[in-house]
This record gives sequence, structure tokens and C-alpha cells, in this order.
Amino acid sequence: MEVGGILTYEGSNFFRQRLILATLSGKPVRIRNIRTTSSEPGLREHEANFIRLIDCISNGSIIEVNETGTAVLYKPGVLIGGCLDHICSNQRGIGYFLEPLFMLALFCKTPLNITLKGITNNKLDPSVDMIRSSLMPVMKKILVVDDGLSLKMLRRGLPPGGGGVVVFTCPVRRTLKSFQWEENGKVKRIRGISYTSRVAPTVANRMLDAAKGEFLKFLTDVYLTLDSAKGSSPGFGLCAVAETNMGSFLCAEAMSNAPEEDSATKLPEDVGREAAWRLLEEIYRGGCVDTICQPFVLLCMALTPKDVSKIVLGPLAPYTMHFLRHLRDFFQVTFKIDEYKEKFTSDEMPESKTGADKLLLTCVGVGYTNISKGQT
Amino acid sequence: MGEEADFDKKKGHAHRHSGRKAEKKAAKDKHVQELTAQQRNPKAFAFHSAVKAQRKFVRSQDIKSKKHHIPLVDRTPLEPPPVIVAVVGGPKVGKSTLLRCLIKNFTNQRFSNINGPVTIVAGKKRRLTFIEVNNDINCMIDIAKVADVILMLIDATFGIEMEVFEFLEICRAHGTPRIMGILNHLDMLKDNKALKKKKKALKHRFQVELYPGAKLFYLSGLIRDEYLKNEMKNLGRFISVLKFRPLIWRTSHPFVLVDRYEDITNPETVRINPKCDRDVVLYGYVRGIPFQKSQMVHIPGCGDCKIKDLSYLPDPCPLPEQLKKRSLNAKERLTYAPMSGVGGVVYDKDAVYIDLGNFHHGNKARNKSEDSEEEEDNVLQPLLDLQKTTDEKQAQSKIQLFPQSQLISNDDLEDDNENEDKDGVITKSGNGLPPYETVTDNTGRVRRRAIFSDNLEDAENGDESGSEDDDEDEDVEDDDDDDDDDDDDDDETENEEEDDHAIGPLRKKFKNGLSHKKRNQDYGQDSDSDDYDLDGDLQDVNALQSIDGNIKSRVDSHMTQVRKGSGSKQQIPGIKSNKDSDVTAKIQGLLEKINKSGQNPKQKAISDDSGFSNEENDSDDLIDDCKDEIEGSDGLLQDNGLNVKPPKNPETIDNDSDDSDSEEENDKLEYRSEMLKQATENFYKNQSTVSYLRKYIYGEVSDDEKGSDEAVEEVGGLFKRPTVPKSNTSGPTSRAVSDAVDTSRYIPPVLRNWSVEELQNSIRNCFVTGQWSDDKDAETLLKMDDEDLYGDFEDLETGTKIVGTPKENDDDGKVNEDNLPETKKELSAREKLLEKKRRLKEMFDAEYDDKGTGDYFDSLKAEMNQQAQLNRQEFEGLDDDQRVQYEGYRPGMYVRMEFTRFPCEFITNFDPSYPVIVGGLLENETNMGFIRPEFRIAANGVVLETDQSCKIVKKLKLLGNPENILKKTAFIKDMFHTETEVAKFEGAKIQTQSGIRGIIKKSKGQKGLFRATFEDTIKMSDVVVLKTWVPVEMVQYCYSVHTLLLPPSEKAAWQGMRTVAQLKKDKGIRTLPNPDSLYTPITSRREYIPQPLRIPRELQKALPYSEKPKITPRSKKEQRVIVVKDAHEIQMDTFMKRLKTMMADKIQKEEKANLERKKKFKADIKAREHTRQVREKRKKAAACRLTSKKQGKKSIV
Repeated sequence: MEVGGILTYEGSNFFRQRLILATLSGKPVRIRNIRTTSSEPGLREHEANFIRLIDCISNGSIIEVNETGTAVLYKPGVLIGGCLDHICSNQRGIGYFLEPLFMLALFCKTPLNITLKGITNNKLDPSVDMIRSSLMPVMKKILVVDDGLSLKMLRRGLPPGGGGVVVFTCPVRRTLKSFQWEENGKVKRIRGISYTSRVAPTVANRMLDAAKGEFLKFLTDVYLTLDSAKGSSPGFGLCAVAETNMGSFLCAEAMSNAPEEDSATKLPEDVGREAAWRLLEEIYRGGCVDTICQPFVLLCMALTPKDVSKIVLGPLAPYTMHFLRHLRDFFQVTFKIDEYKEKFTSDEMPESKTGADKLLLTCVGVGYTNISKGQT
Repeated sequence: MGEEADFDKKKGHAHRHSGRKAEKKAAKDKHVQELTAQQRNPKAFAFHSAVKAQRKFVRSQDIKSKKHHIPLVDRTPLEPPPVIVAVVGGPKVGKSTLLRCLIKNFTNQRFSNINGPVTIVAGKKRRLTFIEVNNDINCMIDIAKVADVILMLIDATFGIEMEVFEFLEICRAHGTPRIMGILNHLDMLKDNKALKKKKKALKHRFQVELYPGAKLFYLSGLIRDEYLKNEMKNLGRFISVLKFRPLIWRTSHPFVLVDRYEDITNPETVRINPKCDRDVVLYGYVRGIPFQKSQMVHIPGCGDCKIKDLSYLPDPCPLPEQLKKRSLNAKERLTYAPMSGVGGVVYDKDAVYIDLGNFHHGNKARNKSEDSEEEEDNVLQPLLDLQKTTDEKQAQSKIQLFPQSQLISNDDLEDDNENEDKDGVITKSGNGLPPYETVTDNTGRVRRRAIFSDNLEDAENGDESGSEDDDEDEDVEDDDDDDDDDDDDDDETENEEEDDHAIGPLRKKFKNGLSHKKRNQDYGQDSDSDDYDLDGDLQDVNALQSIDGNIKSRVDSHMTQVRKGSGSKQQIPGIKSNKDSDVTAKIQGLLEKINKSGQNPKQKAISDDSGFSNEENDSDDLIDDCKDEIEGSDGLLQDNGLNVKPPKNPETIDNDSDDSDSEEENDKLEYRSEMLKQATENFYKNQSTVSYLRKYIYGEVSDDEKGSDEAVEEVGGLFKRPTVPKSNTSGPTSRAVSDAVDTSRYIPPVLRNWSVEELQNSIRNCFVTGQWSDDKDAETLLKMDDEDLYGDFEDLETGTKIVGTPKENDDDGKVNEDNLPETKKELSAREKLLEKKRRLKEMFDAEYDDKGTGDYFDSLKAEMNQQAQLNRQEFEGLDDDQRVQYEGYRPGMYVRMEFTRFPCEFITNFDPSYPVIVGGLLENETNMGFIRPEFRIAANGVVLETDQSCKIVKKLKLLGNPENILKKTAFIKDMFHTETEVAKFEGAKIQTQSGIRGIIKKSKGQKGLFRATFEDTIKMSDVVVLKTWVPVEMVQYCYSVHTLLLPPSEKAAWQGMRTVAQLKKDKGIRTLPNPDSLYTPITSRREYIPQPLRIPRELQKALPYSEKPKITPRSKKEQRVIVVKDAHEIQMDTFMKRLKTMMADKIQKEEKANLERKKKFKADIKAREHTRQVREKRKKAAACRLTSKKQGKKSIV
């Protein structure tokens, strides 16, 4: 909705999407009625923290928050990037902050090199492991030449204590290249990491065994590593990624309940199996990128030059659908959504046995150029 | 060029090819096979030096790579926009004449005066837009951005003018387009030799300025005020075959060169306030990249604004459809230049002339809208004219609607009017509508014209009379003829004749505000345009009158009328113009949609009606009807298995199902709440239907005009619509969604148990271990190859035929072809064969054909080509409405852009010779910021970087003096005034003039005295310096250029920036010069004493005698001073003399003795030598004897 020439939204949901797209498009955005009916109205700590992060990677942005914190007016500036340090709120994981950075980092003035401190793995947000194994390959593909792209986890930190350290560096681009990813390929190997923190290291092995048992029903090339960290808070989990022969990655994870949660503690075997099943679910959904990469890859498609880009995705997550909507609001990009029909499906096979129906998303880029990046 | 020579050349003799003469000639010159030097003497070119060979190779590669351009994706659409040809040159150089001649060359049409851009069809695949550039710097800048070809006129008698240089420099900033120089006024130079010289000199100069090899065209002179025909032809051919390299700016920005504009402000508001903001419509071809709806645009010379509405129109100057013929016929040579009055219409401030003039017969048909033509033209023509006004206008000015509706309803209101306006009197029509007057043609046709304050002056010529209702009828009929040819041809031809008689004067003037025709056309356009919303019209209707009860019956009557196909007197004029094929197609689409959703034949009938009748009441009625229908069909929709929550608001579906492209805010929210629901429901099933998903995300149709639903709410008493209460937005469900947790991680609501075999099977083939599709499966591929290898073949030697045995089906049942129907099997077999062939071809190509050099450049180029192909193909099949959604308004489309709140000066001071360009701004270009330009010469610059803020600092040096020095510590005074100042700079680095570095330690007492340490002891005379920086606040300023809006007199006088000198002069500022650089009288100058010339002795020797310095005897030169000696000195002298004599004598004696001794010594040596030689001889003799003895023996032996 546009009010007085400013895009206006209501509610706290998709807060990050709106701010990111506003920053990239240079359009001011107003968000009203943030948790007005809730018992604690206004912005939460992590949202304020996110605003601070946006402020520190950009120059000249104006953010106005009203007294109660229920309304935000954001006038974006220029993304500058540079060498930064940010302490993330412990309400949310580092993934909450890292995902937007993936979207913004490409369009900074100078390459971004940021150290994030906080919770690396939690249940709500994609963990850093997950981002590294699924978003990074996509980013690499989009960059074509990954000069200086890296995501390092220096220390693992689990909720509630946190204390994890992640370093993310990303080069800048003036324009992106349009791409057509129309084949997701077949899963050729499964890799993963089974991590523990402040619990007995055998827990990791127990998780690993359970998960591997599930995977071995399909594939023999399964290799999971162990990581036992000394953190401030106890916990364990498993993150697995399936790589296809066409170079796409599908990732899923599961982890134990945090000590503060009321729910009962999970058995390591259960966690391992849950992670495995989630990965199988993800494989069932399929697509050239997995569910958490969907918004990112769609954004990259929209921001290409005025060329046609195509991608095959599994069923869209609700978050992605909203992202598509927001993309249209900010960039006036409409994606063409079609059913994906696999080429040369043999007649002999009555059912394809390749999971859920896939979607083919096509769009023409907006011809976005990173004008803040200087002329060489 | 070489045309003159071509003319003079006589036809030569024909050479004989056979017969005696030919034989003779052949015998005479014996043809020796021509060999190159290398062929004749290969050894001379043999490979000698590896270094040379390497250098040669490198050089050849260098040359090759120099030719390369960075490959770019070619984004020109299949039907590209007209090429912009700009004619540039100084004043009085012949620009207009050239333009006129070129246009005549292409169209056979002579233009009396050319204003603004002229679009013509130049060939089967090329259209050209000519534009003349006046010598305003802003025009040059604007044109340099958009022009594809530049014809640069140069006066040969004068040389290259500054305008040309300026223009070239401007061009470079944006990427130089194709520039073709044209040398004019060559006939002024009478002397042939001088002419040649001039040509050469100018060509050289031109190539230096542009690039070596730049083309320069020569125009040899005028004949009857026109350039030579064949010269024009040549030039035209050059232009129409030029190829263009995509320029970066143009391939990343959409833009429109406006060739037509329209003021659609409500005349009433203009009357009240002539300076009110205007609503303006601009027309033109989209160029560059696709335009987006509601994009921010920049109009150079006017400012930034947002497109209120964008819609595409049929091409006014389309390319010929079939391309079989070699050349275009006269009819296909279309011209479109609204600003100069070609293409049927001329624009004044407030009136439209239809030109029926004495044009070429081919064009005549086109120009006369009343004429009968081919169908296509008929479809186009009314639409062309339609665009004069827009829905906006009628939406705002209620007068236009009013008389129309009167007509239909035959209200008594009309009668009132009729009674009053018998004799050309100005009539008040009440209801806040402007007055109108009636004007009669000499044929008796009467038209009504709205009168506004500004219109009153040019109130019409005297021939106005006649009765009102007659006029109406005739009017209607006329309109019928214009637009509705396909309905009844007989009628049409009759009317055509009638018209020809009727229209005595060449030009018929319609008043802009009230012309029926135009209004009708507007309707047509409305329904044509993408965002036509019935709702907008509703509002007006409501204001008009309350016709409620008999709507239904009237609808029916209209329906019957339409079916009959003849325009009855009662029929409203609007009906006709809507019958353009486009519109009907659209309506058809609409019908289908409604039909689908409603699945009700009855509704179809009604909507059919609505499509054809533009009467607002009808359409309104339709909406109501639709609502009913759709409400009924809600259930149906729901049953489709889509799990759509039935919308509370029938309007939702209404909007979705009709083509008015409006989606309401409420829908959005509803969808959002839906989404939550969906997430929890069976997810995959929902997503299986793509159409559902599309609707889910984008709300089926693309754009949401919130204006539409607001308008509907205003409908008020009559047509109440059950709008969704606003409270819905703050309802519990939406609140839940809008405040939900913001996470991108999607965790499926239920974790399925993947240990179940069934589930496992569903993803079995997602793994490499599963079954592969046929084109990838190694097994099938192998099998196919096997078939190929061991298929049917005939053994030629034995003559036996071996038939490959069909492979047995594998026992695992993977390939079970027998079960399939025969045809299917065959088909698949053929497909397989095709597939195999394709693969073989690929392999072959990879090895031989497409091998290329395999370098990066080739692969990049191939990639770009592939992308370009994909770009063209991807949306090819879709119809334009949908394409526009995905792609935007692609280049080559003729669009209508509507703007509101335009400055009135744009209209009042419009000058067609100043180009109006609408350039689309990219998303992030609308931000203000600081730019870092790089200036080349002091005149123009290139932006390197932009930022929202920037740090600019100024150097500041603080000076201090030591007060007290203790070894390496010193106390410094005079640098600061207070302790706090010192505190701020504690730890700062300081330095003395001599370069001894130090650091500020601590404030000492009062008045800014501080202690500092240095790396060495400083002196009391040292000055201590603290180097600091002071941030400088940048003055933020933005100066927008408003040249388009200036009155004509000021346009040319506009100056963007004053030079510093001008500024100083204007403000009376004088800079005081540095006294050092002032001239002062020379007070004392040392006398110049030249040094004596010294020639080195060696050189002296070498010099000839005449050059040698003459040496004068020394004695002469220097006179010794006479020394008078005293007694003692004399004594000493004599004593010394004696000593000297003694010494000399002694030396003499010694020498003598030495000589003696030497003699003796030599003699002695001689004697010794002699004896030695004798002894040697004797020895030698003895030795010889001995050896000879031995040899003698040997010789004997």
C-alpha cells in the first residue's frame, strides 16, 4: 500500500524483507502497527538490533522509530560495506542477521567483511551451518567468480548463552548475471555435521548413527563429521546437506531443545532421525535451491539486467510467497509461475518418484546496477 | 560522393567473349597464372627465427583482439522502435531542408513545416524517427542521449562550427551514437580545386574529431530548393541499412521520445485558474528497455514525476505485415508526425484539426478519417484519434457525460437545451457544467462546443445555425461511419460519399472539450487500456442522474441494437468506436473469464452488452449483475478443490474475474490470512495448481489501483457496494499474520515418517541410485548406441541381409515396451531417434563445426546470443496484456503515459522544436546524493561514484612557540587558549619546522600552555606545528533545469551556469593579486661583466689560422715594474749570482763525467757481448756438427 508516496506496511512480520528491499530499491518504507495488540508492543530487541546492523552497513540512511516503537520509517541510504563488527541480539540466531547480509552484501560500495557475534544455532532461524552449506553455494554460483567470499564460524554458540563468532566476507558486484537453472539433478552425496556443545561427545556419535541409518536406505555416499565445541550453553544438533550432480544443495537440520525451554529434552537419536527426515522432506520438495535459499535466489533473479532468468523450485514456502509480493511492491517485478514439466520423462514410468511437483519461475530482471560502487 | 563522375561516364565498348576477335586477343596476352610472391618463392618466406615468428603471432593476435568489443546481450525486440535520426548543425546550415528532402525521399510527401519528431516507415523492417535539433545546449544534451543516428551538417563554405564540436563532446559523455557528417553548401565554392581541397581538409578534420574512417557525405547543391534526388536516395539508403552497437546507457534505461502530447485537464479548472496544475498525456515509442507501470521518470527540462498511468496503444505507424514484396507500396509508406500535423491531426492548444488536405493519394486515405479504407486502417484510425483525450478528462468533466446520457434517455433536460441554443448562443447547461455553443457547418452539420474562458476568443466563424437534435443525430451517424465499417458496408459507403460532399473546407475543427467523436473514442480507448476501471466511471455516472429502474430494459434494447448491427438514432455514439477489433478481442477475453467464473449463459449475454455499450449506466448495471452472479458462483469456485476461502466480498471475485485489473487492499490482506491457513493445511496439494498459486501471490491480475475501490465507495446513495469493512485489516486473523514471527526457515507442520516404504519410494528417483530419465540413463543410452551399431545392415559381399534382433526386454521390467500401445511406442522410438541424432550432431559440432578458437571471447559471445534468444522467445506466445505484466512495456510499443500535476508552463510554453524525452529512472536512481565527478575539460564531467554523505576536510595548522626547553621536553605556548583545548589534543603529533617530531603530553597550567616531548632537543627559535583537519560541511543543493517550461523567448537565453569570471563581474568581486606576481619597476640591476672567452689549447691547435686567437707577445703586454734595489739586496743578488754560476759549473762538470762513464760502460758491454757471441757460435757449430753426424747416419740407413 502506498501512502503519500511511501510504501506502507502493517505489522512486524517480514520486517527484514521490507527493510532489505527498501535498501536495495532506495525507496523509503513505513511500517505501522507493530505488535499494537500484543502485551509488549513495539519493536523487539532483535529488530532494533537488525536496524542497527542496517544502519552500520549503510551511509546516510534515516530511521525513525516512534516513541512506543510501533511504527518505523526507514529512508535508505547507500550501502557502504567495509570491515565491521556487530554483536547480534541473543533473541534470535546469527542466521536472522546473516540472511539479509547475503542479500545486501553484493551491492555494497566496498566489499563487506563483518564479524557477527551471537547464537550460531537455534531452532527458529537457519543456523550458520545451514547457511554455509546451502546459501553459500548459491551465492558462489551467482557470483560466478568467488573472489573473497567466505563464511567462517570461529566459535559455536548455542542458546541461550550464545557467544558464537562468525566472520562473513563478500565481494561486491556492479551487476549480476542472469541465469537459468532448470535442472536440479539427482542427489549424489550427503554430507553433514553433527555438533555438540557442553555435552558428552558421544552424543554426536549417537546422532550421527541415527541419521546415517536413514540416509543409507537411499545412498551409500554419506559422510558426516563431528564437532564437539566448548560453548557457554549446552546443546546438540545435526545439519545435513544433500548435493546433486547438477551442483545444487539441499539442506536441513534439527537440534535439541534449549535448556530454557519447558519441553522435555530430546534423545540424540531422535534429533538425528529428525534431521534426516527433514532432509528427505527437503529432497522431496526438491528444486534447484532449497527452501531457505528461495527468497535469495529470487531476489538475485529480479536484480539481474533486463534478461530472462529461470529457476526450478520446489513448493514455495509462505515466506517466499510474501517475498514475491514484496518484490513486486518494491521493484515491480512479476514472476511468471508455471508448472515444471520434466523433459523426456519416459513413458515406462507411470510415476516419476521425484517428490513434489516443481515450479518453474521466470522473470525479467529489473536492470539493477549497483550505482554506489564506484567506477573501478 | 562519386555521383558526378558516375554521371559523366560514357558507356564503354562491349568486350567480345567469343569469335575471332576474342581469340586474337586471347592469343595476344598469354595469361600466366598469377602466383603470389610466397607461392613463387616459398623459401624466401620460410620460417627462420622463432622470435620473429612469435612476434608475428603476437601482433596478429593483437590486431585480432583489438577488433573485439565486449559482447553485450542484444535486447532489441523483434519489432524494434523507430530509429531516431537527429539532424544537427549550426544555424542556417540546411537542417530543415535536409529533413524535408529525406522525408520526401522516403514517403513521397512534401512537408510544409516540420515540428517535432516525424516517424516514417523506411523499409520492410525499419522505421525512422527524424528530429531536428536546434542549437540549444539542452536540446543537444537530450538528443545525444537518445539519438541512434546523427546527421551532422557542416557548412563547407564556413568549416566546422562550434556547435558541432560541442555536440560531439556531449555525445561522448553518453556513448557516441552513429554519426554521419554531411558537407553542405558545396555549390557555393565555385573553384573546383578549392572545392577539392576544402573537402579533403574537412574530411580530415572530421575524422580526427570522430574516428579514422568516419563517413562524410557531400551534398552538391540545391535544385528548386531541394537537394539532388540521387544524393538523398543514397543518404536514405545509408541510414536505412546502418547497424548499431548497443550503448550502455540506453540498454539499461527505458525512455520515450514524445511525439505527441495532450492536455486533459478539466477545462473548467483551467478556466477558473489558468495556472493550475495540468493533467498531461504524453505519447511515444518505448525505447531502450521495457517501461514499468508507475515508474518514476525524469523529463529533462521539466523534472521528475511519476507515471500515473501507462498503457499501450496500437502502433500509429506500423511496419508492413507481409514481407514478401521487395519494396513497400505507397500505402505502406506511413508517416506519423502529430506535432507537425501529419497523420491526420493537427494540434492547437485546445482544438483538433482533421486534415483532409491534398495529399498523395495513398496518404489521403489515411488522413481522412471519414474515408473508407482497408479494415486494418479503419481499426487503427479511430484509435489513433481516440487518444486525444482520455478517460481522465471525461471522468472529471461531467459535462461530457451529461449530454450523452441525455441522448439515451431522451430526458427532458435535453429538450431544455435544445430550446435555448437555436442560434449559436452560448448556453448554460447547469449542473456546474461549462456552457457550450452550437456551430454549424456550411453543410448544415451542427456541433456543440464547450466554451471555456480561453476558448471564447477564437469562437467560430459565422456559419453556425441549425437545430440541436438534428445535429445530434448526424453526429451519431458520422461517428458510426468512422468506426464501424465492418458492420455494414453499404451504409458506410453511402455515408462516405455524403461526407465528401459535406466537408467543404479542408479542415474541420472540433473543439477539444466537447467533440462527441473524441469522447467516444475515449471510451474505446478506455476499455482498451489496461487499467480501465469501470468503477471510475461509476462515480461520474452517479453524479449525473438517477436512472435506476429502467436500466434493465434499456440494456436489453441496446443489446438488440448491437446485434442488429446498424446504428439506430437512439444508439449512443460510444458504441461504435468500441468496435475496434482490439476492443472486441478484449471484451471477448473478459467474457470468457466471467463466463468461466460464473458459468452462466445469461450473464454472458449481459456482459456482452456491457462490452459494447459504453454507457456508464449499463456498465454499472453490469457490475451489479456480475456481483450477483458471482456471489452465486462463489461456492463453485470453492469446490474447485483450491481450498479458497470464499471471499466475504463479492467485489473480490468481481475484480479478479474481470479484466479491469484492480485488486483491492482487502484482498491482499485476505490472501495473507489465507497464507497462514495454507501453511497449516495440506500444503503440497494446494500448490499443485499453478493458477491458484499465481492468484495467491499476485492476486491474479497485476495491478492494484486503490483509486478504483475508493471511487466505488463514493458511489453513494444509488449503487451501494458491500465493501469489506476496514476493521478487517485490524482483525484478529490479519493481525496474527502481520505480527507473526519473521523467519525464513520453513519447517513443515508435520514431520512425516520417512521410514515408511511408500514415502521412501516417492523420492526414490531423486537420488543417483534411482531411475534416470531416458535422455540421461546410461543404460538406455548404451542400448541406443548398440541399436545403432548392430542395427540393420546388409552384407554387401555375401548379399545377405542381417536384421538386428529386437532386444529382449529386460526381466526387471524397466523397459516394457510391449505393453504400450503401438502408436505410442512408435512415437517414442522416433523421438529417441531424433534425440540420438541431435546428440550426434552436437558431438560432431563440438569436434568440427563450432570448434571456433575456443577462447573466452567466443564462449562469452555464444552465451550472450543464447540469452538474447531466450529473451525473445520466453514471452513470445503470450498476449500483450500478460506480457506487459511480466516484461513491462517493451521497446517498440507505442504507449500513452498519463501524468497528473504537471506544471502549466509545459502546455502554455510548449515548443515542438524542443524535444520532450521521458526517461525512466531505475530503482535506486531516485535518491539524492553527493556525486564524485571527474572533470575532463572544465565543461563536462563523468560521474564516478555517488554516496549519501561524504567526508570533506580542510587542512588546519596550529602554530606554537616553545616557552621553556628542558633537554627533550619543552613547554609550548600560543597554540591553544584553554586547558580543554589541550585536553582534546593530548597525544597528538606535533612537529617543528626543522622536522623534529614530538607529541603533546599534558596541559600545563593556564592559557593553553602544554608539555610536549620531542625526539631531540628543540631550539627556542623553532616553531611548533600541529597539523589537523577540519570537516567541511557540504552545501546540499539540487538545481533542476526547467528549460522546457520557459517561455519561448527565454528558452534560448537560458544559461545553466555562470562562469566564475561572470559571477565576479556580476557581483563586483575583485581578487587581490599576489604582490609577488605584480610587475614593479626594476630598481637596481648589477652590471653585466662578460667572462673572457677561453679557448682550450687543443682546440686552438685545430683551428684554422684565421680563426686562431692571435697571441700578442707577452712582453708588450706586461711591463715589468722597475725594481730599485738597495745595497743589501744588491749584495745578496751578486752572492746568489755567484752561487748560481758555481752551481752551473758544477753541473756541467758532472755531466761531462757522466758522459765519459757512460761511454766507457757501453764499450765494456760491447766487448762482453762480442765474446759471448763468439762463444755461442762455437757452441752452435759443435752442436750442429753433432746433429749432422747423427742425421748423416740416418740418411745412410
